[in-house]
Amino acid sequence: MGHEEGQQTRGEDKADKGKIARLANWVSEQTGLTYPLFRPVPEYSLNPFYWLGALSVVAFIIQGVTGVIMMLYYIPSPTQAYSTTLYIFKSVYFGEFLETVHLYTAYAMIMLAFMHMMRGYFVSVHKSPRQVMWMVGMLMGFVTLGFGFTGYLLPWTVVSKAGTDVGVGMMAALPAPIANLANFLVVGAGGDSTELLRFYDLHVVVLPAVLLGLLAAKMYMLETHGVAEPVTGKLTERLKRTLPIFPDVTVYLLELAVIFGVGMLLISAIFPIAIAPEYSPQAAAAIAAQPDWYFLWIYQILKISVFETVGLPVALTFVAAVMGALVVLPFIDKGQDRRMLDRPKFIILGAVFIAEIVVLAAWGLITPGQIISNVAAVEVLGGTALIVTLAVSGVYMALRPSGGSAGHGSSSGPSAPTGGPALQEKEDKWTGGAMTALMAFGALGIGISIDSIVQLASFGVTASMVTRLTISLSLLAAVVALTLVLLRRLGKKLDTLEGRSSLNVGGKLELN
Amino acid sequence: MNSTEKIAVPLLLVQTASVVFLWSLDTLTQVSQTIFTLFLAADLLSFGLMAHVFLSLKTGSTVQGTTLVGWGLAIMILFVAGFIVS
Repeated sequence: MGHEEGQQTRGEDKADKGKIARLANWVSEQTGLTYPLFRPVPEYSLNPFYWLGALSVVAFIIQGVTGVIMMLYYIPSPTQAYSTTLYIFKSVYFGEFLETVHLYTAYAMIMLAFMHMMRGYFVSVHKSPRQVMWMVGMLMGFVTLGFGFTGYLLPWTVVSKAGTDVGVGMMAALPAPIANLANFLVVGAGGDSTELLRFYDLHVVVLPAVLLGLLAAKMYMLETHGVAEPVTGKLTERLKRTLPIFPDVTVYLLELAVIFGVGMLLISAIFPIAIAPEYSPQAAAAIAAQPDWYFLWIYQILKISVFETVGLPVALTFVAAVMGALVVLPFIDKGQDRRMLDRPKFIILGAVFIAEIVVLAAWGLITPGQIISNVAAVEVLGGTALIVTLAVSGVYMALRPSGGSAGHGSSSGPSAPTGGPALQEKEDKWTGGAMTALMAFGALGIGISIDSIVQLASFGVTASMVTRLTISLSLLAAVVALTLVLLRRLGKKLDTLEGRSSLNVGGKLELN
Repeated sequence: MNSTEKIAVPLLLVQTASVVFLWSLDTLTQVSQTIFTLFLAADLLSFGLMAHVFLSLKTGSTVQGTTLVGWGLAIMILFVAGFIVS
């Protein structure tokens, strides 16, 4: 069917008399580009959120091109790695530009891969028949993180070497067989020399090969299963219509790719990178070592005082369990419901996961090298989980009628008031009073939050100020949740009052 | 010329001009690398606009006037910024 549609579109192209169309047809005839090797893509997928993974691949390609050029000059040895990095930066044409773009697209690749995963989680792409596809995607995500880990060391700056040492040191806490294997893979027996060489080999040979293999497997499965249908909005006939992969979908992807590329270029131009000083043990001793931002959340967990000594394996096991749970998610979240409104537990879990990662990373950024007390960890992480759970639960209560799935519970609202105008007037007063009180508490919460943030930024992090901020944010979240509940109740009441007769008619029709 | 080509031709001219200019730069200094970045961004955006117009016409959806103006404005700002920096 896909082939027929592809051929049909090809025929339409030929009918186009434009010069560009004729040129495209000639290229197609010569190269076979329009032969429908890939299945046509439904029009509803022409949406940037469907292409986050593809954009991550675009970032990977940019990485490949800039990386290959840098390979012409870079020497992976402790004595020359820094000087050749500096040489590329200062003496090679476009060198600074190359290194800046390489770094920022690496960041973008990791961020896009994370967004791709979380979008997939929220819209349930991991459900049947795409379970294995999800797992392959997760492995690709780990490989992407591996690129970050191995690439970070290569400039051999004091920051990168010290940060990598933290990661390598953590591996020693793993169970002996895994620690030995990891040590063999990334360090070897020759100290810094073999470590740098192995990181380089992993970065430029092993990981790209693994990623390309996984990408091929995932693309094959995508061809088999097709794009997952959207879980929200109405799927019209037009949106279901398919488009050939070439030229239509290719052109769309190119459009997204150039917008992404322009973003990267402008960020690179506005915020050019600076190379940190060269690594030496003395220089490393003078700084607070920490990994790059995408590993900061793990590092911050390890800095909690309970995990500092004997607790390190426990912390690593916890992090590994979170990642493992993401890999086997299709076998945990097994229900057939794909809509977010019908999966409150998993949506709340996902929201808490994102919030905790962001909070941990931001917290790690402002507390380099500091040990986090157990009390502060419980307050901040517990507070974050509480706020997010309350906020998302509030949204659910507002949007999802009780006792049934969304969109099917219109009959479950409260009964209509029966006490006449006097009761209604009383209710109006209570409603007005409640809304005023909520607004006051909301303003209080916002005010204290802003003040706490300013205090934290000005005078540093103190346990009392973090507690104050946590409480004020909790208050704010509770106000938001209660306001949503109140609005929902008001909305239902208005529906009941305005549509009593129509409800009756609806009831009769339902009975018939 | 059809409507796609009416837009494509000037954009191709813009791209050609920017590429010629880019090759003339001495790219070892910070300023010239910034200029290069700005013109390359303008180049890519004009290509993106061509792709957008092509796909819109192909799928039968209308090309919004505001989109065209916004996109064109972005290209112009990049060009002007490039000339100012240079």
